[in-house]
Amino acid sequence: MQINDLHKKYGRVHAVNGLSMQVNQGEIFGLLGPNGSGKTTTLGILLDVTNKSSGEFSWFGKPGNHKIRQKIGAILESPCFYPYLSGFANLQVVAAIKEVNKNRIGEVLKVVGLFARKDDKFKTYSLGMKQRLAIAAALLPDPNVLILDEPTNGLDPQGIKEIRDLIIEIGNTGKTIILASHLLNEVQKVCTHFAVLNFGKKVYQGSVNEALSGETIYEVKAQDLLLLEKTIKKSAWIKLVDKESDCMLVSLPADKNAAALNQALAQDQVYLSHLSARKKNLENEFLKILSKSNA
Amino acid sequence: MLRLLRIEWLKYRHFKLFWIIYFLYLLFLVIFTSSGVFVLDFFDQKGINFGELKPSLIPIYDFPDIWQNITYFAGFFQFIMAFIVIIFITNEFSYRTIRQNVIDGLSKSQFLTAKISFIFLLCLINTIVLSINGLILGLIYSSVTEFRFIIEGVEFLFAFGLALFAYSLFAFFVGMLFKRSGVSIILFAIYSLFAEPFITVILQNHSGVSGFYARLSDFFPMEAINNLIQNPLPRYILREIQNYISGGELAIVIGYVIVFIWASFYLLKKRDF
Repeated sequence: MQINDLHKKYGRVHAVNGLSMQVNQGEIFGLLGPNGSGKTTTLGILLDVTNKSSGEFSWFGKPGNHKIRQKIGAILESPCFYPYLSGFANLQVVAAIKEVNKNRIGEVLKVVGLFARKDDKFKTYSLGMKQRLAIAAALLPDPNVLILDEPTNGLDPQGIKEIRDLIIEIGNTGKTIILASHLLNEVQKVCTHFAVLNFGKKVYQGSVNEALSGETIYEVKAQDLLLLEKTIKKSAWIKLVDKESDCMLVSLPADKNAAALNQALAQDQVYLSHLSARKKNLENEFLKILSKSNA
Repeated sequence: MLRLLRIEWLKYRHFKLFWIIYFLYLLFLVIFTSSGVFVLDFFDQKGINFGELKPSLIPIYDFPDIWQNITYFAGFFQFIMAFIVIIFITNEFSYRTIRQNVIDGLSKSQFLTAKISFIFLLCLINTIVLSINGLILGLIYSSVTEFRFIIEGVEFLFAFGLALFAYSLFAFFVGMLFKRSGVSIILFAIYSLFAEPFITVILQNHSGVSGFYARLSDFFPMEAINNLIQNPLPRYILREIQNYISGGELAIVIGYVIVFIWASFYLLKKRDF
């Protein structure tokens, strides 16, 4: 999937402003951004429900059309189904639109765990079940590309975990997934690549691993913080990065590890009450990227 | 085409309100057009006469006059079709399923083709039901049952179907425009029952309006659709009536069919969902 200089204006609001990006086959791609940053608008344009103001996009190297959409599984925002039809009958409609064999309906309902409720009307479903039915619908054509916009919106923690496991499971089968979300934890857990949008512009694109790599920061605590600080400063290779109210943050050269740190401090009669590696997380990186782009 | 109709069928087959109203419509159509003889008998008993004629002797079900008679009166129920069609299209907006349909891989023109084919099919069924009903009534009551008289005037059945289709497409367009059933039904009713008839009456009867402007109402959608089949009753008090389908009036209605389809497609293309 490729986007070139995409624009969308709603009156004076420039919802998507010169967006260009590319998602490659097999990536689990997180589309991040604060509310109103243009995520859903962008996906809407890719799926032909929102008219672009200008720009180009292509799927598999070809301009988008309904034949391609038949092969893509997509949920945009809330699940939309006919409330007076059963889950099964709703999927029959989707299967007819996507020209998929009816046998798939039972299979996907089993995948999302709705098979037992398939004959109940959609309006009787809980929010989690509606969301799962939407995912079932998206899985119907056994799609190579899955587009999920806030798939865990409004779900309880158990539901969130179920959907997340499902996404990872689907991602492991080699499918491309584009996941729009503002839940960074979620993206960090499932995505391989991500892009950050702000005010309709792309402010970052890269792989999750790259964004989270770099030197490790260690948190250390001791009874006597002053002594700890003095000792660290005396050391030739321990680098004090920052002081927090109850702990010191230090970084180490590449050839030393946490054990070496602990040993060195103990030799100076400083005994640590706490030592832990602080992993970078996407949330911090995301906020850094955003504040940089806002500046 | 069949695939598109099948999609519509899958969507609506379990939509009870829709089918209840539709079958009520068909029932009204049959009962109302069949009740002519009983109504005339009733007039007889009450001693109501039309001119010199005894009402029960009026040959309303004689071939070929029967076709204009029943299609004219069947037209009274077209507002039920408008109601059905508005529910049929605005549902897709209120459930946001139109958006999901497009996301799932229906092109906008396919969506529209599916909808309009389904409406066409309903109008076709209505016309066929009315034809069969007319044929049965004629065979029971008509003094002539020769084949050439039976098929004379069947163009009125075609006109009935076309008028109903055009009328339904107008309702469809209104539904597309306003997206919500309540608003659409109210505005459609205000336009078709009050606004247009009111302006028509003024144009046709006001002394200050003459010539071309007095005929302007012939180009209004409701008026054009209703003009297609003229009131046949005056012929029974020996007045001149238009007992044929006028080519010009037909052209206006066909024009409206094209305009409503085009305008609906324009809305669909232009809008974001």
